[in-house]
Amino acid sequence: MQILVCVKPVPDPEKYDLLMIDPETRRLIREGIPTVINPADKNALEAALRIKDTTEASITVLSMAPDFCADRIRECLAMGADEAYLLSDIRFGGADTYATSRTLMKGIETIGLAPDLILAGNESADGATAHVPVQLAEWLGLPHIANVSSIERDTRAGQAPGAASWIIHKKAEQGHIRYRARPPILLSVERNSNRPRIVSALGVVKSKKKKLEILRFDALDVSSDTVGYAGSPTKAGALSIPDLSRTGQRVAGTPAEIAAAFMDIIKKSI
Amino acid sequence: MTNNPRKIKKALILADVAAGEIQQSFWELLTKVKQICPEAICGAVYIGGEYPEARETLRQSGVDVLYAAEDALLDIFRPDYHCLMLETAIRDFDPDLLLICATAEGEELAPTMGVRFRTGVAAHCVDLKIDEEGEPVCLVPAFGGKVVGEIYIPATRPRIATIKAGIFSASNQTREQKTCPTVIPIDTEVLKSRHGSIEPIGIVESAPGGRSVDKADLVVCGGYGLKDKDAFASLEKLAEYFAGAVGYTRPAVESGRPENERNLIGTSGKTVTPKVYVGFGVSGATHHVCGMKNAGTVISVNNDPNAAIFGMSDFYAVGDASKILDAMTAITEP
Repeated sequence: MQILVCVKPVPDPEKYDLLMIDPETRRLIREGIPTVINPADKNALEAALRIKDTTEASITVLSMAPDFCADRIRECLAMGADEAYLLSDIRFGGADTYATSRTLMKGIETIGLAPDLILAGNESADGATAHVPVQLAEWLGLPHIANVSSIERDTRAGQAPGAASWIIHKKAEQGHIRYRARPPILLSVERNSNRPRIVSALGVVKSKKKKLEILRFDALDVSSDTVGYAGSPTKAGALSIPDLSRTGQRVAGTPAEIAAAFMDIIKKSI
Repeated sequence: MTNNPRKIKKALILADVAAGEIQQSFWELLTKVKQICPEAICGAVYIGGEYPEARETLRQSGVDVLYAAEDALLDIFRPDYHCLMLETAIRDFDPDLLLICATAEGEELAPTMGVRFRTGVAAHCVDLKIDEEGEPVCLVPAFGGKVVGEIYIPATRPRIATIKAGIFSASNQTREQKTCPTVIPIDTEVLKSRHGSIEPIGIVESAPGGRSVDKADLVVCGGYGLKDKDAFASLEKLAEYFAGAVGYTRPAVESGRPENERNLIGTSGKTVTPKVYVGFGVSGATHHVCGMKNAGTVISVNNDPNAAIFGMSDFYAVGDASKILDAMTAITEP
């Protein structure tokens, strides 16, 4: 079985309180914020690794990111993925979810992958649109299920190994919807749906021998008006950091006094 | 200005209807459309099981056009089926603007339509307005709500935007019976001949976990700093006294103290606008604040005198959140 996992390196979501906007250029200052693999993408990779733990499977990791993110992609190999491709070119920059997902599709075409299962984190920590996985499936003409919280083998008797289907749980408003799904399919995996494994020292050593190939603009069958900012139907305008400050009146005293004061405020305000 | 290509001539809203019940978010989106493009022809789409009452309410909601894909096959969300039905309505109506509530389903439908119609999608808008040039602009949060950016979709149609429930306010207006549109049915027969590779086999309902935070006048919220599981029982008691609801932050959920994440408040959860919000042991991290910043009165308790939440509060106390919470529940007891 061939599994493709899509990952995105993002600024560490634990550090977003440090983000600032340069007052002159109006651009985002990310300095001092390290890059990490998007948390939900690690859950997607872990879901793939768990399938590989019990079945004959190969896992390819695909990402679109600048070259400096290669080390983060190698982490995915250290976790246990078999090979990785990084789509990296200055012309891919400024892409919205539409152009990103299309470029990923072109990468899959170029590599010549025909995965049975494509897994990706449901949303990235930075943009958090949850668009890219679903849009990638659409470009590939594959069915998709988003907000997936669990992936299990369908254990009904009499299934041909090649046609094995999956039991998928999708998080929905009322709880979870269960689906039976046949490959090939794309699943967007919920953050925290599993506990991603820790990279071992042996994993790191092994990862150095695994293939991590960088594919540039020229390697893909794309034109410059279909990638990056030029290929994006959404255009970004001004950025701002909303001012959420309030007057902040401190209430002091014993817990009982504070409690009484707060109870009064609640009663008056609702 | 009559030939302004930017002008929204037709707006379409995907009605958020759960098991025959029209959700408040539909009225919120409808109110917004009437505000920003009052002259536009406004359409709505219903996709789901057969609920004649819901369909009739939508018909009288003030929309000019109503599409309905009604079939038992659509009762449970199926990405392939629901996407096809929405795509059919869009092809027929050809809107300039498409608004979808950012539910788990809406978040899957919107990007799908983006690719199928080769157009842009703005996710989780916190506002939608028309700029000086007459161009619609979506304000979207990024980095957990720390930053808000403007998104334009200048060249492609429809412009698609998703909006979480509770972001816009609603004014329910129904129209005169005689001016209500006739319903345009969407052919569901086509679904019967499709043997998709996804088949729904059931729904696992979440355990009922008290009142929902999106409708409550009081939200009491447990953060990571609220240390023990008993404290969450105290939160329930306090909420119950005021007929309010209990919410929690992502770190609290990850520590496993609340039963489930139905009432998670923040970027990856719900957006709430109660009259009063009280945070116990909430630090004020961006991801959470994004979901409660529009509350009427904000009260917070934290043992860290430098907690970020204090600067975003109307009233605050530095102290042990569990103790102050217990003292508050003690007052509620006769």
